[in-house]
Amino acid sequence: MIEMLQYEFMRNALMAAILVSIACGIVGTYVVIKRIVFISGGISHAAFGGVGLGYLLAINPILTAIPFTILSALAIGIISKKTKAGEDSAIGIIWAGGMALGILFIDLKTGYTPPDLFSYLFGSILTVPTTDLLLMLALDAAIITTVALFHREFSAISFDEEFSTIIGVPTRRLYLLLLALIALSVVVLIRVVGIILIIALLTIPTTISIQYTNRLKKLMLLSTLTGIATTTAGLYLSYLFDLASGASIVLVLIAVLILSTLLKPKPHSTTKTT
Amino acid sequence: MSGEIVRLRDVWVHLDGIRVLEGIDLDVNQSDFLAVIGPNGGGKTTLLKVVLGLLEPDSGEVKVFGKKPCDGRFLIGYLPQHRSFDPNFPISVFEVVLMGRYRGLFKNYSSEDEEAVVESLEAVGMLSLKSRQIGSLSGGQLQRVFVARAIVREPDLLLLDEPMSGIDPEAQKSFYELLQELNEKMAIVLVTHDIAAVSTYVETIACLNRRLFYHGPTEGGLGKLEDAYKCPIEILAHGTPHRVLKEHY
Repeated sequence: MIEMLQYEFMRNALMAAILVSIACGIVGTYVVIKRIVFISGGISHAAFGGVGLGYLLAINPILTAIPFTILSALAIGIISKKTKAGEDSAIGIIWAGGMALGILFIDLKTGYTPPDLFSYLFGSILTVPTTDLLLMLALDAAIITTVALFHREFSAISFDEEFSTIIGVPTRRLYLLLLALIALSVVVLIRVVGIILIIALLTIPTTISIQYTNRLKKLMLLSTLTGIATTTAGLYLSYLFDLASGASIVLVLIAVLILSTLLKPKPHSTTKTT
Repeated sequence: MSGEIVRLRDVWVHLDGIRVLEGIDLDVNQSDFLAVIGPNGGGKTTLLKVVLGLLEPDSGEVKVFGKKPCDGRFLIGYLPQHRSFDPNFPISVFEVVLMGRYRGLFKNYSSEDEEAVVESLEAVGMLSLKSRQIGSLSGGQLQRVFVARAIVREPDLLLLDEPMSGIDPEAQKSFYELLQELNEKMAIVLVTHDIAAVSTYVETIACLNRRLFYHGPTEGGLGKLEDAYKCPIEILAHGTPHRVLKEHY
């Protein structure tokens, strides 16, 4: 493990593991408790349009992915609430629409598939450049600040949207803000696990951790720590056996989830009293 | 003293093209205890949502504390009929009730808010369960916790949608006693399809089936509800079982 750290790309990879885990721990908690996993799946796939836009404009695809993904997230939120289409149709439309735009943008620019495109789809934690690390750090800071300011509203709308409206929470706007936060964490995650596997990191650490606590703050902390442990383990395995890093991380997450479910002591929260 | 709390005049509501409320007039004044009874689909929940400003009527006037519902509803406590929350949601009973003290963006809950939570949990007899995860409660306990959440902001009006569902008959009596106590501080409107659940504690009864038949103070009691229900009904009232309401007019 120590010898790994001699290399700069390894230090960067570890740093990336920590940064993605913070985003996943905090935002993933809301994704799981508000049950918007597939909205998040739609948002993460739509992010491909933003990556393609980066190729088209010849700038860092992570930079173009930020506004593109936020707009896609808002589009899902608005289409699902304002039209008769319903949430799952909205997810499908934006999911495919974003990916189609991405393919079109790349096609317009190059006419062939750029060699590093694969890393945006499937992730490549070992090749995260320092500039992207700094971007990820800034996005994490934005996520933490927003949650610190609006955690009361986020937990209210996650628990009971109708009651939140009555007590004066600007429910609609806060919901869109939450979707925008998901968009930001998607961008943080693109480099590490790739667009296709993002949803695993947004849901599995929290799904593991929720077995051990029923307090929101603890859940965020525990999810973050779970994320750090599992991404580091996945990274180490991929280094050791020369495996694809994104896939290793996701499979470690699933293995830990299965183990923790099997080994879990009697649930503490489901004892009913009448 | 009869401070006006709710005033509805000729309110019409259509949902998806179906007429749900027809020319509703309703007055709720300070310290009223009104039961609105009517069949399923009769518009009871819709009526509450109009008062809360969650639904905009097609026509008619709605005033809550003399204002538009969305400006006046902060003085209303509401117990919804359906509680569609996730039972695994990581939140304690205390935190659920604390949400009822929400005062706006960037405003942290104060120690005063926490005291109010303790008081309202005590009022509903649920203080001992304050640290429990919300999904671990029974139906009756949940109902009480959600009443605590509704009254924690010290509202002047309490709206209850089917409050007796999920509460067994013995517990219903003590629940009504709780409501009666609360009624000293706030007006109460409860809606239910279950006529048996409307007890002698209720002062006023109205029947709702698209139209509202207001019966005023229950000098009579429960009786000719057939016009609202469109079928013969059997009356089971607690305490004084042979009362008769005035005819609908």
